[in-house]
Amino acid sequence: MSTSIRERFSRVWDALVRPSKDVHAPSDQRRARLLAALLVVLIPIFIIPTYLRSIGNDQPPYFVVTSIALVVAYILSRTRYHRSGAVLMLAGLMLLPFVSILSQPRGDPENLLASLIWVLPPLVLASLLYPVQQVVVWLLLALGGIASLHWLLGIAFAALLLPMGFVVTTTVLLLIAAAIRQRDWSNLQTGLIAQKRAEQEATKRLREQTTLRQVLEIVSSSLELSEVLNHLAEQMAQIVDATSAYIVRWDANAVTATVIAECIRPQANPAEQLSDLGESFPESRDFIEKMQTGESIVEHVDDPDLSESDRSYMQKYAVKSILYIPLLVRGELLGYVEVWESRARREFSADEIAICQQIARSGAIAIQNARLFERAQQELAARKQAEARAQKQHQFLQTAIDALSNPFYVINVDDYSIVLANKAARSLGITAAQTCYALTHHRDTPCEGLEHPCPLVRVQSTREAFTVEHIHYKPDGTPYYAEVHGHPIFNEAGEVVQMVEYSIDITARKAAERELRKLHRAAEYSANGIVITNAEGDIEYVNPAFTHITGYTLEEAIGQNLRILKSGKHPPEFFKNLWDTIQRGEVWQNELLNRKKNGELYWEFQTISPVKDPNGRITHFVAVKSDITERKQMEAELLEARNRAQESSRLKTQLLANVSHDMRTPLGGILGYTEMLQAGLYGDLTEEQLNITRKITESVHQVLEFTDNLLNQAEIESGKIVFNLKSFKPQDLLMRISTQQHIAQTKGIQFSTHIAPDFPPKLKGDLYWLGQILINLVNNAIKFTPHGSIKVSLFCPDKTQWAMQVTDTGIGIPPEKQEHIFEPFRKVDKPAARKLHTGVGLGLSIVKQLVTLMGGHIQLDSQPEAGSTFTVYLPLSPVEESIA
Amino acid sequence: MTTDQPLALIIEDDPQQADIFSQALNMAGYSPKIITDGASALEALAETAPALIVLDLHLPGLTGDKILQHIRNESRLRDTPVILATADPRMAETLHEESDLVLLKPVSFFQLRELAARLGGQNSTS
Repeated sequence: MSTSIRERFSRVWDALVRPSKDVHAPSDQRRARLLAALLVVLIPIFIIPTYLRSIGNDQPPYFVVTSIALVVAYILSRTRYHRSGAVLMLAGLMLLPFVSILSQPRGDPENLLASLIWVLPPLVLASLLYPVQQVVVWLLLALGGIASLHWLLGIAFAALLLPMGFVVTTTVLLLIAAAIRQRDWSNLQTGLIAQKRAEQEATKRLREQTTLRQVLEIVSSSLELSEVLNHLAEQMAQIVDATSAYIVRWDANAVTATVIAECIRPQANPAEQLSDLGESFPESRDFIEKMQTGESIVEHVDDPDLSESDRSYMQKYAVKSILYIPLLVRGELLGYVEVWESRARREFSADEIAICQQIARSGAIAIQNARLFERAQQELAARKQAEARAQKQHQFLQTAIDALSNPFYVINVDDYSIVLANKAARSLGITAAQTCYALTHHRDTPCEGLEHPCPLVRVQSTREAFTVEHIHYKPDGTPYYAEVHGHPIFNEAGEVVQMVEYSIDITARKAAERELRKLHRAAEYSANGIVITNAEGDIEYVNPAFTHITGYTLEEAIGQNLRILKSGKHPPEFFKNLWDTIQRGEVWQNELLNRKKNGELYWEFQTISPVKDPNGRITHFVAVKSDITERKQMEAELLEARNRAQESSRLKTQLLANVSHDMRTPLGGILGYTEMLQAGLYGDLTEEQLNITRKITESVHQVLEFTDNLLNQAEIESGKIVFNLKSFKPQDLLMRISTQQHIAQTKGIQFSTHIAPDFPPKLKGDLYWLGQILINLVNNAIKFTPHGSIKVSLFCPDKTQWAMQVTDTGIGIPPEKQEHIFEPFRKVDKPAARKLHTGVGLGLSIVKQLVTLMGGHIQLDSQPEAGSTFTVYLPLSPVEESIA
Repeated sequence: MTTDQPLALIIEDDPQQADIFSQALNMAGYSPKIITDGASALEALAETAPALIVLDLHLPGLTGDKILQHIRNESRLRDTPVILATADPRMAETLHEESDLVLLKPVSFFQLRELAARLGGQNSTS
């Protein structure tokens, strides 16, 4: 029950004196709490007398003012302005005696003293609340106040000395007490007797603080852990004046302890002098657990509770006492410190342990810092390494993608910006923040629509790679076909964040495809069968025409060898020649009898061309075949027709030859008897009768000429003229026209022949046909020369040819008709000719044909009414001359 | 018709032709004798020495070219002028070297007369 009341009281008290939350420093909190506690006590003391006095109607105003001042001070003490509260309280209390003196004008020194005693409490309070310097200020204020009474109230100075002395003495005592309190509250408690010791402690503390500062400086300035730890060990050994000190690292994983720093002082015994640095040893679990609690342990060699192993350990080094201090950082045991004393058994004081602990804490922090530093270094190195690796990887990647000849870049999904691009892409005009659509399409907005579907949208929605054909633009605006490939790049969450895009210029491929389609269509629609085989003759393609010709469909033909078409009608050498030709890389062309799928034979004209690769190696053969069975049939029919025609021509020629031959004898009768009539063998004839007989002979010659020329024409047309070359004299040739000469003469035409003096004595040629040329020329001249002369000349215009020339003084040939004169069945002028001549105009045509066949040419010079000159030029071969 | 005129042999199977040749040679001053077949021709050639021979190449029995060959092989007859008369222009061609004259039928009466006269007839002018 009493406990609960005390608790409640302490709660109420705490609520009354608790300082503001804004006050943080512990000393300020203590002061504020003290101030509040004083005022809680003082306020009732002042307010109750004031209340009592108000009953007796004696109501001094200073009590009221002081009471108000104290209440305000209390309020301030509960705020962050607690210092102002303290000043207000002291000022209020200090005011009290002086106001009391001033309000009682009696000037009674005893009364004065009684009033001034009220100065003491504020001084006592000041000494509790303020440092010495401030207390002195308050003292001076008090003395100044008392001294000023001499002036204000005219009180004798001597009367004031006593209270002043009282105040000063008391204050000095209080100052001493305050000074002591300022140094050490506990010292103040133990009293002035302990002052000396306190001074020693202060000195020691100063040294410790210096040490600690040095330790901290080392810890913070040196990163070399062993140096720091050695120094700490040294500091510890020195500060507690021990013989040696060690810092041991505890490895929880390996369950071993390792000496990592030591300080062995000269005072150490010989056994102790041996360095233990780097030595590792196991440690008992009990010990480690004790260390982990953070408590320091002191062990003495003569301690009866000491374990045997510990005792033997201490005896080994002749050590009397050991202080163990754990090195703990955030509950983790990093190791511990051993401070050895080997001179005598030693109790380590709490201060010594405390300072050692403080140093040990620094050591632990140093180890921890070193560890952190090491880890940071490692992390930094790792990061640098990673950065270098990333840099290298980036370079490798850049080099790799730069090696690609096609544009290759990575696009951000959200803004279409290009974040990585290879050289080819950069050459399209990439700048850092450019977008894919600006780069390749010269657009301001992303691609859309079915014609140009945006690969990015597609890849993002399907999360799969996508290929599309686009029209891209080069920096100069030239469009080109591009095959665009998009590949998604996922983040850890599996979202598409970027896309790899690369585009291939397929303009050439498109053109080739178009070309190929065109060629393919041409092949498909070709009327000729087209077969493509590999180098071994195995079929890879046939067109519909092939199927139409052979009956083999594409499916049936593919993979088969061309041998399937073999008819067996050609000898093996035929095919050997074929293969030899095409394997030499030449084109083979020939007619071939092949066999259809249904066994039917057919003729085809086949052209086989080898197809070579860039190295000149034959990869394919292309065979183009046309069915020529019909043509073959037609050819056979034509051949037959030609043979028939030739036979008929031969028969015609034979018939004409027979006619000509058999006609000559009866014509001989007509001619002979008519001439005999003319010769007057049967009596003299009248002029009229003579004319009649001349007409009869003329008609005979016309019949002869006509039949001769029919025969000649038939022979020429039969194409079987073979010139029978023989040497002959020019006279022999002129002899051929003796009949014509006679006819001309009987017509009264002057006829002369002439052989040039340099004309070769012998010529070579077919005398018959040469004679026919000359006869026809002369006949022609006789026909168109009603009177005058005809001259026949043989001469050589140059060394390579000879000429027959027939000149007449006849009617001549108009220029416009000269070119038609050599056409068969043509006459110069029908009425005129009819008037003068009869017969068919075959002669000149035959002359022309014969001259041409002999390799010569004919020349006509003619003027109407002046006559014509026909000159036949024929080649004169050197052989003829040598024979001559 | 007098026998002192040089003898001319006309070897021709066609009677009309033979008649015409005969008249022409007669007018050229010859005493013509007509023979109508090859065998008789050989006989006549053996018995007589004609001054001129007119030979048709198309004869029954022995062909004209054989007779011509015989004439050229016989030293007594070798130099006798021979006028060949043929209806076959080709035949005329093959023989023209060996003969003195080849006349293609129909033979002109005047032409034959003139030729014969030129070859030695005595009454060429008549």
